Amino acid sequence: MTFDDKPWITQSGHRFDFSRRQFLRSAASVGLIGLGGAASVFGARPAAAQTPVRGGSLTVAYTAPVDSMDPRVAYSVAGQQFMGSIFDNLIFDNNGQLEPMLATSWAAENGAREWVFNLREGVKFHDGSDFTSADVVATYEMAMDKTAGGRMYNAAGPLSAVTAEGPLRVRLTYSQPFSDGPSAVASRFMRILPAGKFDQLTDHPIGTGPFMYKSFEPGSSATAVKNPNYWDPERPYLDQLTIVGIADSVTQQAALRSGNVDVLSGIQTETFLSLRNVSGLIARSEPGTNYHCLITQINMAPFDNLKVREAFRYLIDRNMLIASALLGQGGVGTDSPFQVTDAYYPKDLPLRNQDLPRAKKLLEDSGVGPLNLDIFTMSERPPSPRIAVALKDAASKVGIGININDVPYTEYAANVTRQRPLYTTGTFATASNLFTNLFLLYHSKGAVNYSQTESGPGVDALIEEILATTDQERKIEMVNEVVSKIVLYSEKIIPYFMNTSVVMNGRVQGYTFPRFDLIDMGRVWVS
Amino acid sequence: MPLWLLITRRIAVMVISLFFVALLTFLIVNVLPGDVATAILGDTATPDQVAALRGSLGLDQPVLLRFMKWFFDLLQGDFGTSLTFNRPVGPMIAGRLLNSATLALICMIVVIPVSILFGAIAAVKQGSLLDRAITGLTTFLFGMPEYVLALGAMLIFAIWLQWLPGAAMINPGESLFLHLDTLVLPVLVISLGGATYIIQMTRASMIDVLASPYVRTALLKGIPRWQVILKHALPNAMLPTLVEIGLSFGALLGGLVIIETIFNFAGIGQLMVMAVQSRDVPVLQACVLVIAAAYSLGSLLADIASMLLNPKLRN
Amino acid sequence: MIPQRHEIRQAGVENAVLAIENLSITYGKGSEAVHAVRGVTLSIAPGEAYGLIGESGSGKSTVAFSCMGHVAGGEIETGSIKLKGENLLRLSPAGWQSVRGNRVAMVYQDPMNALNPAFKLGAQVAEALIRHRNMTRKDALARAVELFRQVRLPDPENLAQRYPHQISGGQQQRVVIAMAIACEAELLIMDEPTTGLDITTEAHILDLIADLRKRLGMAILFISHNLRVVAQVCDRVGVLYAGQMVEEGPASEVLRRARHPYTMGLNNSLLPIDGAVKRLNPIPGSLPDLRNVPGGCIFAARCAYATPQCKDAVPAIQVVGSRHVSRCIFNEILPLAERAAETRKRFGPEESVPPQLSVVDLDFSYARPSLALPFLNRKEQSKALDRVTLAIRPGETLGIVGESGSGKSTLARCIAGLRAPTGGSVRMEGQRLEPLAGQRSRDARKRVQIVFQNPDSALNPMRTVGEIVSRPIGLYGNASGPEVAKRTAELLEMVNLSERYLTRFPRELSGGEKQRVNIARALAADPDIIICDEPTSALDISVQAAVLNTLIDLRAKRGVAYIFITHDLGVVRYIADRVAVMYSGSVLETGPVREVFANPGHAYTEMLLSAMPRGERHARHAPEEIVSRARPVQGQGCPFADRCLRYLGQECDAVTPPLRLGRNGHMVSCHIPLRT
Repeated sequence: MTFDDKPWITQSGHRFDFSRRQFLRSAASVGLIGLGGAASVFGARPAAAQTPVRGGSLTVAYTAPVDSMDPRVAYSVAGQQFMGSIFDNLIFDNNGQLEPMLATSWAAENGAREWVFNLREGVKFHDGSDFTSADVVATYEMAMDKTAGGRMYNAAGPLSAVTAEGPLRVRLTYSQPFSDGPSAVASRFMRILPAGKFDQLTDHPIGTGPFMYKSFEPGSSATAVKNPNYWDPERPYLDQLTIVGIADSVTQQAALRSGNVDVLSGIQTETFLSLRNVSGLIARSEPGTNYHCLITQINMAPFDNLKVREAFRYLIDRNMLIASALLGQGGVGTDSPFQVTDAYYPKDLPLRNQDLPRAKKLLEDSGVGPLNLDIFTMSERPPSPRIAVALKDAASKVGIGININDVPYTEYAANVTRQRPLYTTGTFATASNLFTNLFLLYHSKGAVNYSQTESGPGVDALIEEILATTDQERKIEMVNEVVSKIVLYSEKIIPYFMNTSVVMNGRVQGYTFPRFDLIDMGRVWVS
Repeated sequence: MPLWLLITRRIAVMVISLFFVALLTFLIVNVLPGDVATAILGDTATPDQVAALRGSLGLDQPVLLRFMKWFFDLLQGDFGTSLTFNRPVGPMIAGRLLNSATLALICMIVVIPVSILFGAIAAVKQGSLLDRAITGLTTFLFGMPEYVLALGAMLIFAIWLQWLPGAAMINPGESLFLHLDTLVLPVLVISLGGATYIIQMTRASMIDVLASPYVRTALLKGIPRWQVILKHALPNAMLPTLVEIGLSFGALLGGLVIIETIFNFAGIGQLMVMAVQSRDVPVLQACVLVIAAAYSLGSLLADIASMLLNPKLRN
Repeated sequence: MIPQRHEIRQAGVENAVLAIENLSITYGKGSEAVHAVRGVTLSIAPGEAYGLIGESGSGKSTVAFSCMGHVAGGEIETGSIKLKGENLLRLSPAGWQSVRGNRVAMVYQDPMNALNPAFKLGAQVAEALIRHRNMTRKDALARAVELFRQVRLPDPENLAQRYPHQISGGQQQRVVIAMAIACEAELLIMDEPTTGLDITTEAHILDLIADLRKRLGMAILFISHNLRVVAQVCDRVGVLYAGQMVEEGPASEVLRRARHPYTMGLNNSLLPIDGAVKRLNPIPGSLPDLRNVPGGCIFAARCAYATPQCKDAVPAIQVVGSRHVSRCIFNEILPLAERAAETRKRFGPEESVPPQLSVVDLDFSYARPSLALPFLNRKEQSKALDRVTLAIRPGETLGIVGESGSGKSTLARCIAGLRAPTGGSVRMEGQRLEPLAGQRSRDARKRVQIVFQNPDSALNPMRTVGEIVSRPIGLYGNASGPEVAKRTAELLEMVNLSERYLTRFPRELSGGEKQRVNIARALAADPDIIICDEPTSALDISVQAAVLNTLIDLRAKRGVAYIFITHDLGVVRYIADRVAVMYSGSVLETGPVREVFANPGHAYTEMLLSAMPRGERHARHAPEEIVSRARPVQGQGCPFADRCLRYLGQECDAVTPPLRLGRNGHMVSCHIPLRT
């Protein structure tokens, strides 16, 4: 079983070939940063030209299986996709574009310190009970509890209170101005759960989503059936949805070809390449939001020395790594969570690549003696071990000894992260807001800032200001400033962005490209 | 020793060894780095989150205390609750066991007659082209890891020829028999792996028996050769093979780990892999116990069968 | 090879039951071909018993199996085998099936393995009847019971329902005989039918064969390496050497007045019947390589009388007496040339010498093996040794005899410290030894060595003879450095092996040579006592003679004492000074060999003695067997009570017999006083 499609939290959804102008226009139109244009649809035929057909069933395979029936615990992409089909959020993040879901409208108050949501009327949970503001309050109150909230806790943002203002109106209050509030509300972790029924979730999850829980075979598959009373009478189109985990590449291919599975999502590059030209199948690999990174723990020797950290940034040949590890299916990383085409990436910041003489010089200047380091990585998250190998090769040329340790995931989680000076890790966008994409990763109090140290002089204060500001121009300027600092100071070395690959058979329609690895299954149909 | 006494003794031995198997598993899992809390929360979790979850799952209690609690619950027929899925382990494992046992049984039904037949033929025609073909093939397959066989079979039959489904997609609650076609490849692979051993065992013991004085006695009594082979040689040659088959039933269940993972078959092996990875001790314990029990049961059945076949053991 | 059969046409060949003419059988092909049987001719008249003797490897079993059409891996090159005039070699496989078990039947060596362990005894006998006599299963089973009665098996109805492992070796052989006579075959082939059986059992089986011959009048081809057994059963004897018939004649004549040096050699290897103390005269050397048969007389290389003339041509068959032929050109002068055997001194220590090693009240119990779980086990024990007390003086040879299961091997292992006795003690010069060898001092270990029955399994196949023998020298510190090599060579010389053997591996040695290596290894420790556990029972008679000679010479040279364990009374009488007779874990009688053999005090000893083969036709009768008495309870009364011909009644069952003392340390454990 591999864990390559476990979501390693947070990354921006801003990327690609959108010009800054397009970006600003789309951001303005939504009132938020986001992406322009409709979600891209794959397939030879434009889906919009056809009328969706009702009925049929769909089986989607991921590398790791559905891991829980509890949205606070579900962690694998399959698990979160299944949760997304059972539960709704207040707002739907349609690949960066926020759309009404259980909330029909929302507005900022008190300088974006508070957000008010008007709820959809007449929505029912799968057990027939009504959806009201009480459910929202119960869900968000739990999210503020560090223990009970699970993954909701980090995703909720700097939330300080939630209050009902009548049965169909809710107010979220943040501890500081939070312009990304609606985006945080749309996070994949912020599903609305039925008040008072949290304990039943693992046994029989009840939501308001387009599909209703049918069965769950832990470690293998989960099945849901159409919710006939869904608040959008048009959807869902499918009668049944099954999500399975298939770890092995050959099995994935066999399952897809024999028709046991309709869609393979989040597969490895090799699998994608071998299916790319098979007739009857639709295969897509597009620039994604996943990246792997090398952590140089700032609070530990020798990386407490800035020059050593900087030297390491010049060791890896990033283009070579994309060619060998990703077989060309990826984009170059420059130690920033935003790709170079992104509006958040400073235009004038030079690209960084391998420069061994410079690395050597930096090491000499650092005053640190000869280095001999252990690097920890895990084969369960391919191709991140290739980073370790590339680093070792390059490091040997400048006189650094690197010893590669490949450890299983659970051991890695227990003994490596935050405890070793040098290791690889992976990151994964879960929402398009800057709370998850900057604060959690780079603020010294961010949960995924492993060193728990400021990622550059004044970065903490800048990030706090970014979260508060609603002025888009100012925001972009500040993000640019933060990025230009973190590419030099932060613990994270990001050598590449990975493409997201999906292969499906020709009968699948309306399957949007999963930019955040999740799609709305309610919009999918089969011909 | 009378049969009932043997069975009683063996069951008593089995229960005691199962206890130690359980204890050992518990201790080993505890020594492994990481626990269910880190497995659930992953590498992005903060230490205080892990500590909080650990507390709420009761993992902060001493190992032996947890084991005793688990053990006394087990005595009352309660396998406990999965730490990862927060569901009772009993029902979780029951369906899986049924699937795996069905798979294993189908394999045995396929493997036993076929491999005894081939083993016996190879022995009778020892040195012939047929014998060399059978021995050569079994030696070749015997040296091949099961996952290579599995992947090879899948490549050929599911991807190139597209005759058979590659992955066994059995939806929860659905009967295995609705999906007999999905069983063909796993059965084929397991059977190939298991058959090689039994063919070689049968062949070796058949050759021994065919060279034995009592087979000669029968031949020199004027009994036709085929009758001597079937009546005199085969039952005696089966004895050592039977014990192997009995033991291999348990090994089969244990060996399903790889096959089930590759074919995505919702069986006990797949569950066990998951339980190990997620350090879900109650689930793992149940899997290990079930597989260990199958081992003991298999060898008990083999002993009973060889007792019935072998008069020397009967009294 | 020139067929010689025209010269030996004998009366009765025309109406012979079996007529083998010029039979040649080869195993293998090309230059590796082994010419195992060459030009063998023999015939057996109706009702005649014909004995075929020779060392192992002489081809006698090949001849026997060729009469059943079962020469596994071999090819019959020339000749014919006629059964009542019909050439069996022309038979189709189906034709053979109607002959086997029907017209020609066979009794095998090692009856335990000849019977199918998974079938009931009755069914195994009935099978042939159903096949050849078209009987129904029920009738065939009834007939099988009748046959069991004929071979004098007790309780035949019940026995027919039992399995081979549930009956004794002697009973198994009776079942095999019943199977062979089931279809009233015209020819009965017996291949070493008594080898491996206890002496009393052997006597009973031979009795039965004689009896069946009388009643059924069948012709018998009897194969054995034991001349005395053959002479007891057979009318005529053929001697096979290296696949060639070298002598043939009336049984008593061949045994007493052999006219071929090979036969003479076999006779000289026999232990004297009368207990005379004379040196054995074994045949030197070993069988020739039959892949490359030497020209001339095949025996010339080992023959004491050979001249260059012998190697010129294969000697013609010569008539040397009435129906007596020999393939030796010197047969006329042989009887004159035969050397008188040297007499050998019997030398035991004086009665007054204190014992070197003694065994006091030794007990050994086997706990019944259990599957597991001690708490589910009832205490079930069987005693293999029951209060055994024995002593051996320096340089003395103590023979221990008994049937299989008497506990003699267990005793050997307890003395050697390979098993821990459950009671009593082993003492060396009065000092109590630790039960296990590992706990004993190096000196104590060095002083007691053991030679096992099976010479093969006792030698490490990966080591050379030199390594095997030299290891104990270093281990017990008897020599060091270049001394070791010198000493090793000396030891090999002592057991009559030349230095050439130093670099050989066990697989390159014959059985007798291996046993001599074992003895050399035991000697290497420079022991006071060597325990010999059946050291010659797996060996041919001529090889046994050579090994016995070696042991006797070593004793003369080194003064080593032997504890000699055997089931063969002849060997004990030949080699031992004193003898202990064991039965069911107890010593029933001990004393000087001459005393015990001349004046046996115990009914069991008497039974064993009467069962000894004497080499004369019907010269012995099996001792009477009592089958009606219940087996005694262990630890109560006399263990032999159920088989005793002098049974007194209740007393024997209930009271432990007292020890009766005779002359020269003769002791008997019996309620009846010793005759003096």
